[in-house]
Amino acid sequence: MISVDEVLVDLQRITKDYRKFRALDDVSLVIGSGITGLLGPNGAGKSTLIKVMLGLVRCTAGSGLFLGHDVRRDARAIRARVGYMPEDDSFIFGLSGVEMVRFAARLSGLPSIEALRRAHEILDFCGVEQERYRNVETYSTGMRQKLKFAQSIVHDPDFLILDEPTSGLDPEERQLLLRRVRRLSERAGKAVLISTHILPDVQQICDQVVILVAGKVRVVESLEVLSRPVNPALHVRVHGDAGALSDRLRAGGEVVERAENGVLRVNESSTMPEALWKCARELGVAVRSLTPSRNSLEAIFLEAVKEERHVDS
Amino acid sequence: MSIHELGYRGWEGRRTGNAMRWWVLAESGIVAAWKSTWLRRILFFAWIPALLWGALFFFYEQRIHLFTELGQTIPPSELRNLPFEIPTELVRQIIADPEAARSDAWAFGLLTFFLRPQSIGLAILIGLVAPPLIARDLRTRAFLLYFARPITRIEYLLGKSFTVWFFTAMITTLPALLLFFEAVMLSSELSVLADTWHLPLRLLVASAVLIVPTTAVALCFSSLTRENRYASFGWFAVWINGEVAYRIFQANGRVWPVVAPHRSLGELQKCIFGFPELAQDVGVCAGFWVVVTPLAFAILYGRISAPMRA
Repeated sequence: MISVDEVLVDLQRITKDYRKFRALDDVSLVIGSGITGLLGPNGAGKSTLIKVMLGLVRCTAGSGLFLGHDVRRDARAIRARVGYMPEDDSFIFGLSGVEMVRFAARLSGLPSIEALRRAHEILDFCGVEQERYRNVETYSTGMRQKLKFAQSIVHDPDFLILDEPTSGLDPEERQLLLRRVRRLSERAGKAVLISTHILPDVQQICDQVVILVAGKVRVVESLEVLSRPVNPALHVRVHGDAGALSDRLRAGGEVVERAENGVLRVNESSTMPEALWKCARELGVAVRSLTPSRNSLEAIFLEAVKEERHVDS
Repeated sequence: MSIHELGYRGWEGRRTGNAMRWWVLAESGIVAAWKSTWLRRILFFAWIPALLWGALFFFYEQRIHLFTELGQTIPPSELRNLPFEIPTELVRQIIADPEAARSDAWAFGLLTFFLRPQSIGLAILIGLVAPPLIARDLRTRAFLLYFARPITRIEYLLGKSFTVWFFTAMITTLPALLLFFEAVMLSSELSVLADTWHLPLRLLVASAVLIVPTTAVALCFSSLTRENRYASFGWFAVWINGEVAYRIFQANGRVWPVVAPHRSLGELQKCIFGFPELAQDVGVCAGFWVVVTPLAFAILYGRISAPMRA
């Protein structure tokens, strides 16, 4: 489980049924500060979980606290302290960018003039320049994403829920947005929950990961722990005869595999990496890089989904 | 990057209370609707009848002493087929004692103001303002943007409804109240207030009876489609077809005001202004709107809740 200094979300045995369809099945979840990635295949219940947390839909069973408020009873108090960026291409027709962000601020209770000042400040932060004076319906998808992000933080929420925040953004804008999210977490102390299908995004900025499959929580763990392989190993890239180095290491009792592109995968042991340096020196092979192997998030994700399919079958 | 970019800064300030959160929605709707040139034109033209009625009130109060003399010159047989279906009894009262008949005369003047020009203006105005209010939010999937904020669905409905009420009150309640105060100011003595104090209350009730059900139905149409033009079409179709149906029935000797929104609301207003003898099928009309109004709000509530369940 995640070790959390401050429990911000504490859901206990949450179940949500839509008539005969069970969208969430006995979900228990604890989320702390930092950035949490919420992963899951389509229809896993990610959006329903977010809606339950925001009090937009009432859970069929279970209980939970979000920022200290009961998710079943104190929806308004929760929403006052949470910023939400929906996945859908949502906007408010007929308003300019700055008007829409100001409107969002006012809906969250900021006074009129303060809301306008704050809207401009946040649009500056989000990189929305003079386009802010154009009507939202004329915006490109990427611009609308930025605007949705801006409206989600304009009221200075304690907790941010971002649903597919980088979809529709070009690579440069994607990086900028992820950097902004990281800044909000590290410098402004915001807790963030990112629901996404883009695993590299999660790997890049998240501190912990929740994987939801078929309405059930499959994985809740910090990314650091998840990335740690069961059998720690080193990936060795060499300049020279990799085969000879591999043979020499094996002869010395090391477990070595040849990976693609001439990279050697050497299991960590008490003699490593000294044995590697010694063998390389003896054979005149240059070690170009030495990196500890890590589990890829994709593999973890696929494993979690596969387990569910296995159980189903 | 903007040269003014200050990075992210927290915000510490006092937030406004929840009680008036709906007003933000209403204000935004009013500002957005006001951008329509057509709306401003309709508002302008909708005030023209108020000038005419104002002149009538002016005439009544300035020439009140002439009514008795005028009455003596009009033979009783002429007191038929009066314009605006003015009750003969009311005309007789005015001729006999214009001071005593003032309250009824004003009430009838205000009733005709509501029934004739303003209800038509109201139908056009609502057909312009209400259809985009919810249809556009459906089309642009804006519900999650609203409801992820600390506002409830009831407040959302209140905000949207108030947008319509504001404009409809601008052409019904407001000019009618001004007409009343104009009449009070033009009358020879302020004692008329003792006779006519109930009229502003009747005006407010009549406005509510006119505005609330029509707003509910118009917003209900708006919530049923993502295209506001379909909602407008539905709205005008109900009003026009209702009137056509009423006239067809009337031509065949049957008077069924309930088939036409304009007529059925008019029957209720006749009672509110104190002329129940002129009204027909009041119970049926009242029952119809008592059922339709909550039903429309219930459909509306269901429609705005639906995207949450998706």
